Amino acid sequence: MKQHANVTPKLFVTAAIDAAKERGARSVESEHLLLAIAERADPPLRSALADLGLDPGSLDRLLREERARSLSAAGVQPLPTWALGSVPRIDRPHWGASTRSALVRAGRIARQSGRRRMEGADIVLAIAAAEFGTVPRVLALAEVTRDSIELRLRAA
Amino acid sequence: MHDQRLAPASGVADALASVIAVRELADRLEDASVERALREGWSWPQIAEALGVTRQAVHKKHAGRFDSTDVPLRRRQS
Repeated sequence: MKQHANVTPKLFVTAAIDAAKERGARSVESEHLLLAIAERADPPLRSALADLGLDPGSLDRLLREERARSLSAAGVQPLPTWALGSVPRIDRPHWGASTRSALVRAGRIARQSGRRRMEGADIVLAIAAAEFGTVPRVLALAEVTRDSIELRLRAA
Repeated sequence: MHDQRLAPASGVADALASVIAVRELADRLEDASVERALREGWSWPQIAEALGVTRQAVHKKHAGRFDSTDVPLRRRQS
């Protein structure tokens, strides 16, 4: 994998916090981190994600579809956006387990590649390595496999 | 993945995902409903009682976000 480190992991993490806040989430989860990378990464990685159908707009749509399907599994219909609009909470969302796991895994992927610092692509691979949770469900909806992500990122 | 029961989007996985989705919806609905109640003149004790929590709990959770907004805050029940 080539080096694309102009945008640092710290910036992705900061952007993930913003993405979680914007969506009214109580915790910063790996889907927020993936959204942040899709929005902020340097062009090679951003283009690779877009080629996979994981550009920010598509991700946002897939996340809403995943939530609607999940609610439907419990017999609940989503409420219209206007019914849920409110002044956002001011407390910072806490770190979700999926984000912590992804960052630990990304560090491991970077070390296995002989690098001391993780990059955006490491984080994407780490997020995609999760077996269960919101992101795997979103990837299943988009019919994107972990193998296809790895292949595309290696070519970036 | 060979075992369909362990696919991320089927069966038990759907049920577990619905827990997250319902929790998230409930959180957002609480935020919107508390704001609506305040705009309609409800006091913190009334909102707390309706939500089945203490006044301190609802105030601590929600009051800060209405600072510097046009949402009216009733300090005491009249």
